Amino acid sequence: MDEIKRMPRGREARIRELDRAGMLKKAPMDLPFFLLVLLLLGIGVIMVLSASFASAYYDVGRVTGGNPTFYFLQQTLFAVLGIAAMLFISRLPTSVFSRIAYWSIIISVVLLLAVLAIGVSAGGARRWIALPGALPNFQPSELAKVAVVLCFAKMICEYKEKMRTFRYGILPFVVILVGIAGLLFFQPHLSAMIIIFGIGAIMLFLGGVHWGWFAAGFGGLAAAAYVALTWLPHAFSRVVAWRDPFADPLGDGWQIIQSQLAIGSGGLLGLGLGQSRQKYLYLPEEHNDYIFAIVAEELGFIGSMLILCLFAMLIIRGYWIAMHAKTKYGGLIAAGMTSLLAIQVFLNVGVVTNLLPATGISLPFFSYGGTALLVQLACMGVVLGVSREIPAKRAG
Amino acid sequence: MENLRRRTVGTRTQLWRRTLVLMVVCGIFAFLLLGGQLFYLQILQHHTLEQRAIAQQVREVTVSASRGTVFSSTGTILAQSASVENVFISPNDIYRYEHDRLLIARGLSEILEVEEDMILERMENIASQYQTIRMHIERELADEVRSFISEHELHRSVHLEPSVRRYYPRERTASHVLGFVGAGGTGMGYGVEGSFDSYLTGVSGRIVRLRSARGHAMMLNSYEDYFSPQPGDDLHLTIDANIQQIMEKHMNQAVRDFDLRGGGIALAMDPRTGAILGMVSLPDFNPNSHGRLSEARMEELRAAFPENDEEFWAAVNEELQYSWMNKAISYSYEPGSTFKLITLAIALEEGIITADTNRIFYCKGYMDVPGRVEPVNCWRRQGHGAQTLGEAMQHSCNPATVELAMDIGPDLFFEYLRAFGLMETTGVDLQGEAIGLLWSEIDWNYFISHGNYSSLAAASFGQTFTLTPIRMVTAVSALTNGGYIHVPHVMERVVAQDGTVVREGETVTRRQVISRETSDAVLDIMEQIVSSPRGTGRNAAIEGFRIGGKTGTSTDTVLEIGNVRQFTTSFVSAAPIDDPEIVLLVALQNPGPNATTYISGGQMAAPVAGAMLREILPYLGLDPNVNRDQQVNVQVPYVRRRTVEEARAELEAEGFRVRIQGEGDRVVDQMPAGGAVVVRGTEVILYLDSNRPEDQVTVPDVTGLRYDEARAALEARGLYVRRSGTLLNHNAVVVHTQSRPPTEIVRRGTVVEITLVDTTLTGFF
Repeated sequence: MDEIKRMPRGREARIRELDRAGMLKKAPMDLPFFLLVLLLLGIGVIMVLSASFASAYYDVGRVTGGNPTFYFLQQTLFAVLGIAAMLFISRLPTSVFSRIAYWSIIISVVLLLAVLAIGVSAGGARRWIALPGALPNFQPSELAKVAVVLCFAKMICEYKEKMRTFRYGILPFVVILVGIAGLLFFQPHLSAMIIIFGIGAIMLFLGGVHWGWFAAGFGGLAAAAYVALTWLPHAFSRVVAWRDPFADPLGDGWQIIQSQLAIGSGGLLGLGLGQSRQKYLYLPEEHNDYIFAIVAEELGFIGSMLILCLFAMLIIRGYWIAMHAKTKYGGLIAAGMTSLLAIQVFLNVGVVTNLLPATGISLPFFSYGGTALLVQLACMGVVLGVSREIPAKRAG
Repeated sequence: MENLRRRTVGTRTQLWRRTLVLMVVCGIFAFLLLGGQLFYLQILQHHTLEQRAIAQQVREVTVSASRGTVFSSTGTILAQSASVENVFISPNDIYRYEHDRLLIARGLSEILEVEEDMILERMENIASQYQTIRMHIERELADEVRSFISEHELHRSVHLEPSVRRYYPRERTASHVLGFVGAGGTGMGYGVEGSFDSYLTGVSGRIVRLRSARGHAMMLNSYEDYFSPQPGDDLHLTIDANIQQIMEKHMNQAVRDFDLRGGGIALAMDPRTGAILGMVSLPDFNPNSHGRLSEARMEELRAAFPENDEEFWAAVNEELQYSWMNKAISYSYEPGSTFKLITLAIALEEGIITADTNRIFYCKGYMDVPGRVEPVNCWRRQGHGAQTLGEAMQHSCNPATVELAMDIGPDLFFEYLRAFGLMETTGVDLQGEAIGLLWSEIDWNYFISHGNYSSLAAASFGQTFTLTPIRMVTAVSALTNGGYIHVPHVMERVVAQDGTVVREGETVTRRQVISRETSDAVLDIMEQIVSSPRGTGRNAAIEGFRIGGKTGTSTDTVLEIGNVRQFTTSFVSAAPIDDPEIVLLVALQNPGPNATTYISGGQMAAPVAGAMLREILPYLGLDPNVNRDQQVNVQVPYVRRRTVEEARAELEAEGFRVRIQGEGDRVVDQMPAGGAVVVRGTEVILYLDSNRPEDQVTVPDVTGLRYDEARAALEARGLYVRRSGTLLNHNAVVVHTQSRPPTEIVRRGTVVEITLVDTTLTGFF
C-alpha cells in the first residue's frame, strides 16, 4: 500500500517537474544565435562539397572510391545529427552541465590516457579512438576542450572570492591544464594544446584572476615558446616556413604558398562557387583545415568577409547571451563555449591566411570532420540552453 | 573598505565586464586582424598571387609552326618539313610526385631505344622540368609513348611535344645554297635556311590548358586555349635544279679526274637579272646529316690518327667546317688571267684602244715595269711576237695586258675596280659573303707612289689580290650585259601559305660601268678566245653554240702546303655570245699529283665549263646552230624490217657506212641500235637473217690516244664512238676521258663517248 500511496506523490513530483520544464520550454531560445549557427553550417556544408569535389573524385586519400560527393554526404549526415544534438542539449537546464562538470574532466583524462594506450595512429600522431562499426574515429581532445569549460566554470562558481588567491585561483586550474596538456603532448597534438591553454586562460580571466597572473603566464609562455623553437627542430621549421614560405616552396612552404595563391586568386569577387582551381590537388587539406582558402578563392574578398562577419556576429551574440545569463554558471559556460569557437575561428583563419604559423586547427562548421562538427554543434546547444534561461523581459 | 565592497559586490559585475572585454577582443579585434590580412592578400596582393597561381595551373605547350618549303625554279622540292614529336621528362615532377624512376627510365629506353643510364642521369636534375630524351620521333613511336604514359599515369612527368623535322629530298643537291636547320628548328646561318629564316620559320602556336597538380584536366574548368601556329612561307629559288645537277655532276667528275685536293667552285648566273642559276662548292655535305662525315671518310681519318683521339676529332671537325663553307661566296681566290677581261674592258671604255684598232702589241716574253727590278714575264717565255688586240687576248698575253693597264694609269684603274663592285660585297641574299682581299685605297696609293707600277702591272692580269667567285661573276656579267652591275640573288619569291606573294626577288641594278659598245667588243674577243684554233679557251668550244670565255691559272696561298705551290685553274664563260643568258665560272682548286692533265685553266677548267654548257644550253631552250651535214655526231636511224636497199639508202644519206651480214631481203637487226648517237661515218652492220650478237667485250683504255687511234681501238672491240670536247684535230688533241672506264665489261655495240682535249695549252694563263 505504501507503494500505492507513494506513487501519486512521485507522480505529482514528476508533474511539478514537467511544469517547470514546461515553463522553461516557453522561454524561447535565442533566435539570432540559432539562425547564425544554421546559416554558417549551411554555407559550410556547401563549401565542403565544392572544396572536396576534386580530391574526392581523384580519390587522393583512397577512401572515397572516386565518389565526388563522398565528403559532402558524410558531412551532411553529421550536420543533421549535430543539429538534433544541439536542439536536444539546448533543452537541458544548465544545472545539468554543472552536475556533470567534474565527471566530464575525469572522463576526458581517462580517454586521453586510453588514446595513448589503444589509440589509432595517423600521420605520425596517436589522437583517435576507434569506434565500432561505421562510426568515425573519435578524438578525445575535442571532449577535453569542452570539459575544461564546464569544469573551470564550476570551480570558479565554487571558489568565488577565493579565486583571487593563488591556492584556489591558480594552482588547481594550472594543475588540470598542465595535466591535460601533458597527455596531449605525448600524442602529440600541438594545436589542441594551444586551444586548451587558450580556453583555460580565458576561463581564468572570466573567473576574476588578477591581471598580474596573466602577465606572468604570458611571460612563461614566451619562454616556453623560445625553448620549444630552440629545442624542437620541427617547430622551428614551421616558423621558418611561416616567415618565408618560399625558402622551401616544395616542402614546408608548399601548403602555405598554395593557400596564399588560392586566397589571392579570389580577388574582390572570387572565381565563383565551384570554380576554385587550387582545389585541384594543389592545396592539401583543401576540405579540412584549409577550406577557408577555397572559400576565399571562390567567393572572393566580399564573400569571405561576409562569412567572417557572420562568425563575428555569432561570437558577439554568444557573449551577449553570456552577459544576460540568469546564473553565473550559465554566463561562464556560454562565454566559455563562445570563446572556444572564437579561438578556433581566429587560429584557423589566421593560419590559412599566414597571419600565424601553421597548426592543424579546423574551422568550425566548415571543415570536414564528423565528431568535431558534432561537438561543435553540441557546444552551440549549450549556449542556446543558457539563452533559454534568460528571464524574458515581459511586457508590463 | 572600498576594496572589500568591490570584491563582494563585484563578482557578477566583474564577469559582465570581463565578458564584454572578450566580446570586443574576440568578436571585433580578432576579426579586424583577419579582415586586414584578407584585404592584403585578396586586394593588394591579388595580381601577384593570381599570376603565380595561373603560372602553376596552366600547362602551356608550344606547337612549332611547320617550316616553309624551299623550291627550285623548276618547282622541285629542295627542302621540306614533316611533323614529328619530341619526348621530354620533367625531373622536378618525378621528384615531387615520387614517380617510379626506374619504371620510367626502363619504359622509355625500351620504346625509344636510348640508354637507360642517360635517362636516369637526366632525372638527377630535379630542379628542371624539361629534359629532352629523344627528338624527332615519328607518329607510331609517339603513340607508344602516349600509351605508356596513360598506362602508368605519368601525365606529370613524361611529355610529348609536337615538333618539325627538316628533310632535304635531293640530298646533296644545292646543299650550300640551302644550308641546314639546327636542332632547335631554326636556320643555322648557312644558306637560305639561315638568310630567309624569318620567312621560313612562321610563328609557333601554343596550347594553354588548366591542369590539376597531377596533370588531369580540371572537371569544371575545362578552359583550354589554342593559338594555332602560322606556317612559314615557301621560298622559291632562282636555282634551277637541273642546271644545278648538271654542274654538280661535272664538278664531281673534275674532282676525280684532276685529283682536286681543294675541291672546286662553279657558279652560274643569268647576267640579265642577277639571278643565280646554279651554285656548287666542293666538298659539299648532305644537309640531312650535316653533322656527320661519310663512314668511309671517318675510317680514313681514323686510320690517319690511330692513336690520338683529340687530333682525330679536330680533323673531323675541320673537314665538316670546310664542307659547310659556301666557297662561291665565302672563299677568296686569285682570279689570274680571267681578270684580263676587266683590264680590256677599261681600256676599251676609256678609248685607249678601239675594238677595231690597228695597234700592234709586241710581246718579247717579258716587259719592264717602272718601279720593278725584275721584268714582268709572259707565261710564254719566248714571247708572242707581234699581235693584234684580239690575238693578244687569245694568247692571254701578259705584256699586252700590262701595256693596256699602263695606258689606263693607276688612278683610273683603281676607280674602275671600285665601279665594277670589286671593293664591296655584292649584296647576294645569302649569309656569309666574304669581303675578299683587294687593296684599300691607302695601300694602292702606297703601291703606286714613287712611280712604282708593280702593283698595277700584276693586278692587270689578276694576280696579287683575291676576291670571291660571286664578285668575279657579277663583274663579268656586267661585261656581257651592257655594263650593268646587278645584285646577285637566289630568292625568286617568297609565297605565303595562302598563295600571296610576300616578297619578290627583283633585279636590282647598282650602276652601269661600261657602255653597250664596250660590252659587245669584249664579248667578241671572248668568243675569239674560245673559237679561234689558237685561242687559249679552245677546249671549251661546243659544237653548234657560240660561246665566249677566258682562262685563268693562279696560285692559292691559303691552300699552300709547305712550300709546294698550289694552283687554282679557272674559266669564266658567257653564252650564247650574241645575247648571253648565262655566265659561268668554274674554278678548280689544288690539283694533286694524280691529275690526268697539265695544270692550266685552258686544259682543266675550260673543258669542264664546256661540258657543262654543252648540256645547259640546250636545256635553256637554245637551238644548236649547226649544219646537219657537218655535225660530228649523228643519230643512227631505225632501219629494222626495212628492205636492204631502203636501209642502205637511208644510212648512207646520213653519212654512215654500211656492212651487210647474212642473207635475206629485210633487215632483222642492226648495230648500233637505232637512236644511238655516234660519230659521222661510223660503219653500221645490218643483220639480214639473225639477231645481232649479244656477246660481252672489254673496254680498252684509250685515254691519251689521238682521236683516230682511239676510235680504231674501240671499233676493233665492236664498240662505237661518240666524240665530244674540242673539235680540233691535230697530233696534240688526245682523248682526255672516256665514258666507260677501261676494263669494264660491256655488251658489244655499246657506245663509248670520248672527250678530246687540246694538250698544247700548257702554260700559266
